Amino acid sequence: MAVEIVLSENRLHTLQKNSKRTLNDSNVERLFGELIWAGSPREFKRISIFLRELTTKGSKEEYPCQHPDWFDESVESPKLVDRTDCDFCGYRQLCERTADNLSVEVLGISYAENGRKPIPPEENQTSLQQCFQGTNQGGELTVVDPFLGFSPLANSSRSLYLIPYASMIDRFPDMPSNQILHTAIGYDLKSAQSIWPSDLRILQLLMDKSMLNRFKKSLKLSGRDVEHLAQLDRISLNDIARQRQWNMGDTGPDFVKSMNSMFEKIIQVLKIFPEFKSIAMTPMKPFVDHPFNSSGSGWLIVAVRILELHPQLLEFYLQHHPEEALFLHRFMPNSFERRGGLSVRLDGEEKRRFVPRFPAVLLCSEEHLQHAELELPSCRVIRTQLVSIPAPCLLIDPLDFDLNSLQGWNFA
Amino acid sequence: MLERLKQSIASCYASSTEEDAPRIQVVNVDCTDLEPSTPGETLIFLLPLSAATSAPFHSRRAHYTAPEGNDFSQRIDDFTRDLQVWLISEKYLDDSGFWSYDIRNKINQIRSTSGDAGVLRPGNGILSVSSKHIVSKGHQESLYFCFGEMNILLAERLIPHGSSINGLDNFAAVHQSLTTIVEVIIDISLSVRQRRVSSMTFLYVHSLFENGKAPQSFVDHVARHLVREVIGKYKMHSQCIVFGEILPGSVTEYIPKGRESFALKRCNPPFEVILSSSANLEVDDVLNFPKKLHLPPISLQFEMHVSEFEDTSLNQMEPLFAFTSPIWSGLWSTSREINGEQVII
Repeated sequence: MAVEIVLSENRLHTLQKNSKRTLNDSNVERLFGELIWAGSPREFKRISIFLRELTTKGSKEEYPCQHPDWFDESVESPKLVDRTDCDFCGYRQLCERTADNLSVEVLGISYAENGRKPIPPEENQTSLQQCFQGTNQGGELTVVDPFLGFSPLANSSRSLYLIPYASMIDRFPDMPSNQILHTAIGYDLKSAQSIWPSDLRILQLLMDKSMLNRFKKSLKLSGRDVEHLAQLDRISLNDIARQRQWNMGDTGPDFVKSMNSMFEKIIQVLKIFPEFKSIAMTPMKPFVDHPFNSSGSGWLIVAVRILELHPQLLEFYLQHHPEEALFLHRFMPNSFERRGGLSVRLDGEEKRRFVPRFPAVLLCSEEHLQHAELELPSCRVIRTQLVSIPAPCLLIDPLDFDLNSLQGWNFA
Repeated sequence: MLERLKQSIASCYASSTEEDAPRIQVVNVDCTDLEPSTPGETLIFLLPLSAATSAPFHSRRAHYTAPEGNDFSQRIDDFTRDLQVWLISEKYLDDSGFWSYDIRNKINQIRSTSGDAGVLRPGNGILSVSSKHIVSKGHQESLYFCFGEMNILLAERLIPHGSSINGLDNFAAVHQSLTTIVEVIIDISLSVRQRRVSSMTFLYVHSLFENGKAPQSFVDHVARHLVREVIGKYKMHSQCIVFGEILPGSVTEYIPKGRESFALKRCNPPFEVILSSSANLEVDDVLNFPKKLHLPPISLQFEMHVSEFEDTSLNQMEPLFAFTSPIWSGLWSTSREINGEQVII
């Protein structure tokens, strides 16, 4: 089930089944593309008329078109159209009817594991309605789209998702347990962690198979004439080890020696590749461009994030450098290996996938407030709405992303 | 406390000969439609701390409803449309569909990180300038449109020895068909540069004691700190301020669990504590501060800057504190984030 909120009137009603039609004609997409860059009003009108001919096929003919003259049609007997026709009209942004038709559909979904059940939107209509209510400075109630500035689709008709808070945590865990998440920009489903701006460039290289193979080959052979870590990098690496709770937080001399030796070799390999140099040389701001409170060199940050984003590299490294066995036994089972295993179970496929960090409105009762967080690995709470709801929920704008395509979700 | 702080901030500006008086508004309810700042204006909103749970919503809504941003969007859209027509007519483009999407996306990326001024700043995305030194004349500069594989010469200018030129002034199109496009680029760039800088600051305020308990001199001191270090320093900024009383040796938490303590989860470093007096305090009283205020765990990794208000008359009172820290406002001035939240790989 789902509910539809009509934003123009702030009225809420249960969505009628099949209230909108599906348009299967591929020409609709093409014509939309042409519309955006039409060179003249005349051309725009010509394309709009073509588009109208396609979309009105099978129309439910619910109400008369507001501006038939825009299509050179008779004003005396205007054509009857439906919501789908209006949604796909070339002149929808100029038409008064658009404001009347502006609505969001709220779908309830939940993570299927652990017996999590979706929270039905139709049973929480009043709470949902409050998310779209605002107050102006005169104290009058207004209708707002809370995702303005966070979603390119704000103030347009679209689907939103109502997801239990606990379900969101289960589905998108943060395996490295980052303490600060507000600057993370996306989520990697494979390694089950948030990703930061600098990670984007690292991932682009890691996802290039030939690049990865070359890197592995060099990693296998590394170990000769290794430069020691600079003092600043050693301090920074120790900080990262503590922050990540590597080796269960134990930073004995053997562990530190082993850790330093491994990162020295990885950095040596990284320096062979000019592709990594541009990343490492870019100034990075701690807790903004990467998840560490570190002021070490860019090489160190890249080395650590490479292992975190591609945990199999650690395994590969240790296979070829058995002298780092201490690391293998104490560090790996508690961190990277588990992460890879979880992601495979979640996705059921090896293909690497990323989702944005979705903007969300937190719906929560006052008593549950203290158990919630404002920054989650895969979404950020932009507004909090204190409402009477059985369990904390997130109203998520999927940013034009199809959440249906993620496995493991149940629909209400 | 909101009204008292408002008066104190206003007096700071009144006594200053350098600063223009800001517009200060107290917003007691969770107001969603705040009137944005006008060009050149410093606007300060004082809100209760509980409203900080929706801080990104407030700031981005105010930012995205500002009329000057919408005007820029319209003009930059017109420019890219004209440019696209020219690129197609000159056979640089054959499939326009993806190009228009990509360029809009790129412009949005630049705007989200560098603001409107970044879009037409050479070297920052879609324009670049190269310079050649001609001994007898000066510097010959060339303006290029750079996007994807494109690197198209649009205009040139000569900067004679000893003279200087601002922004994109004096660039002349290299071809007649580009004249309008180059004029539009210069015009938009000029209008952005000429904008009077406005700023909007959201101050989320909470007091853990009765309104009358804090001495006026202490509130004025905190207000002076905010005016000097926080207000007007960024185009958009959110900051929290919590006034409270330190009970020496006590283990009691300062702030009860509720909306206010939840709102403090939005706090980010740097953290600052201003003490009215340290006369009766032990080191532990200060060290335990983050825990007692329910600050997020990241506070433990950062040094908290502690300062003392030098007014010996307050030594006789129980020590008070004013805690202040930035709150993420939903904008990205320092990161390379892509278009708000989208990850594109």
